[in-house]
Amino acid sequence: MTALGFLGLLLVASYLGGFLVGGRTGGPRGLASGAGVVLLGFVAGPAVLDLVSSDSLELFSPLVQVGVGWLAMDVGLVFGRVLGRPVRPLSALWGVGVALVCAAGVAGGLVLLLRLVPQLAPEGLTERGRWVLLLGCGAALSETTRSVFRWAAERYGARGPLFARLADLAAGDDLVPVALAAVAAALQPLATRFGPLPLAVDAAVQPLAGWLLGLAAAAMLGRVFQLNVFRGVLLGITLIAIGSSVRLGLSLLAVPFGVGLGLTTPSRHRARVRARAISERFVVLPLMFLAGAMTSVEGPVPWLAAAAVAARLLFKLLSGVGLWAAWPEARPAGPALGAGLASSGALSVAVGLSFALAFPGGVGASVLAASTLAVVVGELVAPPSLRRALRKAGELHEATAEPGVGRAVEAVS
Amino acid sequence: MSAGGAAPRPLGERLLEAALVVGLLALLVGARRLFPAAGAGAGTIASVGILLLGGTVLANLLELVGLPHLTGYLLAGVATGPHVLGMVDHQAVADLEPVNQLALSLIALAGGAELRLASLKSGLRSLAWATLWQNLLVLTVLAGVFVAARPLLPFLADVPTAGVVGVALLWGVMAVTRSPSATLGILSQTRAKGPLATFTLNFVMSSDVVVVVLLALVMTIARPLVTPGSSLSLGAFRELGVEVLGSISLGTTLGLFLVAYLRLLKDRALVLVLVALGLVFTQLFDYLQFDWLLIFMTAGFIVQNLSKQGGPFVSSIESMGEVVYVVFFGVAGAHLDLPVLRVLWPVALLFVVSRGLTSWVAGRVASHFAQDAPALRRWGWAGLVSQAGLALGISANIQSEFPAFGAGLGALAVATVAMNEMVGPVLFKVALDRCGETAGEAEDVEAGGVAEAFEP
Repeated sequence: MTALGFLGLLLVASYLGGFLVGGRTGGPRGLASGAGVVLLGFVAGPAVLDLVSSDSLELFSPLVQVGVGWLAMDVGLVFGRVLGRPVRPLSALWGVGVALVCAAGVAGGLVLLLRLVPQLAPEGLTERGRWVLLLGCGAALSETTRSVFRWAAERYGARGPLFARLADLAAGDDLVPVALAAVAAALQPLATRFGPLPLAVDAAVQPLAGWLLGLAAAAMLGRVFQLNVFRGVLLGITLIAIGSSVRLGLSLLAVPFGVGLGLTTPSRHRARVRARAISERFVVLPLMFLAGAMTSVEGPVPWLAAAAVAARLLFKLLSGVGLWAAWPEARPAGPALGAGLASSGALSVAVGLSFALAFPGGVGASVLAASTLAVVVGELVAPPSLRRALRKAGELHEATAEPGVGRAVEAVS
Repeated sequence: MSAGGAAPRPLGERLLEAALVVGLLALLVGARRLFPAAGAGAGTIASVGILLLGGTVLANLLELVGLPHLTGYLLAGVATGPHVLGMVDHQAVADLEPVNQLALSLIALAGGAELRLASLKSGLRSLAWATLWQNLLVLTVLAGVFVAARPLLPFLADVPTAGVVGVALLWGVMAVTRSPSATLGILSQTRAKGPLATFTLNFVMSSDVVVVVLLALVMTIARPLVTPGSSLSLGAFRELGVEVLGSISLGTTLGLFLVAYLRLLKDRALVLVLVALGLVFTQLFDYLQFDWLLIFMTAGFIVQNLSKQGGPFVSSIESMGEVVYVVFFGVAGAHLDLPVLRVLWPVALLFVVSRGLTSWVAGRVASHFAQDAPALRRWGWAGLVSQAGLALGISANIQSEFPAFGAGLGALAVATVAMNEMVGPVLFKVALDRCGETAGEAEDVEAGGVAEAFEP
């Protein structure tokens, strides 16, 4: 397939995305996390039918960079909100905790696997590469996508205290993959004229720089909200953030995420900024498709991905047991609650893509494969489990679904 | 866009904006020194961001002194481009070519959609006289000036007199080109309504076809003059017929497809469809050697005039409008060859002034014959000064046809177009202001109450 044809295909995916993710009718349609598009990309990609060649994929890497960065900016914009309301800080902290446990579990599982079967290490794996692999897989497989809660709310009318806490948890855990991606990027120290930056400083500087850029952008919006100024400033600042990240080898997630946070830090135009800037419906599905197409099954990649996803499932289950024990609202749902948190979506895929672009070779490919496999496995496991848990808790009200609430927000992560 | 009747942006805010952008650019320049990995330019992705941000803010600032937004975009491109700050480097400018083509295709679609059959019919007399006099006088006078300026043009030193006449005629054709993008950019910013806006739009959009025909005619005449021994060949006209008629046919088909789409799906995801068409079809039509500018213009015209879908169609394109113009003119600014301009500016200035004066005279003569209203009689010429990509495209065409002197002519064309590109939009905006056609300047201010799907 030529580059032009491929571009056409991407635009068709994007077009369908507009209908599926952000359709005007607002009815609950499609899958919870877009796994179908990932599979479609995988089948069309070099690993199966080779309709989309590796050369075409390479040609479009700037588009992937912009898409990943834009999505991260969107995540930053809505950070702290879920289903159209503010996230409760304590539940969000639980989200961070669960995501960290899962990231550590995934990393631990991989360490164990590589110790038991050293042949599965990607070729020429350095010490830094090993850390990147662990951080990357941990980042990609740590979070629970929020789209599964939007899906449950729309399709099954889910609402209630447990549902609200779980949604808060899924909203809070977005921070973990972004932070881990920043640390992984900092492992390749940013060389300055005065020497390399220390790791912690390097990792912290990335979202901070983005946040300052976002603040500057917010200041430029002034008191009177003008749409053309907003568009120029938002696009300009975000593209500068993405382009500079690529140029300096910073994380494609951390800097734009900071931009999104910074843009909504001042309260003056916060609601307008969120309402106008969220554009994930044209970004998510093409990224999913590209992620599927770029997924490699060569060498040890599928084994590493499978091990990482298995570890994720195990640690989500264990986290679920912890939540069942700690949250009174979770008691009726039973200890298998954690399986309902196994859905991963666009943010995981964005992590996978950013690692595949930043760390070409076995390490990046393994992180990407783990992220796409997690989306597919999560689609099979999580929605029915979540439904079961919520039904046990008496929080499904299937006849009273209210489609559209928070739709624009949840699909981004 | 201007705040129009709503509360305008205070000076302090605009200055703060500008200070922030200057600070940001200084940081980016500093980053190149601090981080060796940053390399020379900002890279293609960040370059688009720099052009967008710089253009938006500079346009806002220049609005205070009545200058059009396009001037801000161009200046932002010049300032950040390869010859000044070097943040948007030559590589980025080259990489942005597809984005530029996309922008131009959307501008052409918008241009076609702005042409209304009723206004074309009612202004036909003015348009016909203006087309005749503007093209005739500008072509012949500028060709004459070119011959007279021969001692100032070193690349003509070894060309015999007959050859110089041939080159002068080609120069005359370049002089009659106008800039649809600049015209639409100004009209999009000001939302001007009135006889001058309508006349200029109709003239500039139809001049695209006139110029293509004139170029083929003059090429046929000039070839035996410039290249002694070559015979007069009418083959160019056959190619021209295929190109023009084929483009109009393709444009009509594309327009009917868009009408069907709009009927079936309304304006749903239309922006995306238009971007897809712009990206894919410009390459395809270019490969097939059709005039894609004419194709998109025809398609827009069909949607506007052969269906009831013109309104939503134009709104969809306008929703992207400002961003498209910032990128297009920002890249054009970055593309300006300042070293060439520095060397050739006196000769270029001679041509710019001659062209402006001739346009003014031609405008007065045409208005006299057409019995135009006083406003059009006085300012009808002002919107016809801008030049941009079309003139440079013709210059590139001439360069490839006549390589012996093409490079020198190309450099002179770049310098002249650069000046017209800077002066033209300002003149047009002044004319619209003076005619009172910008009274209802666009309001793009949100007065609160935004639908917030996620903050009920």
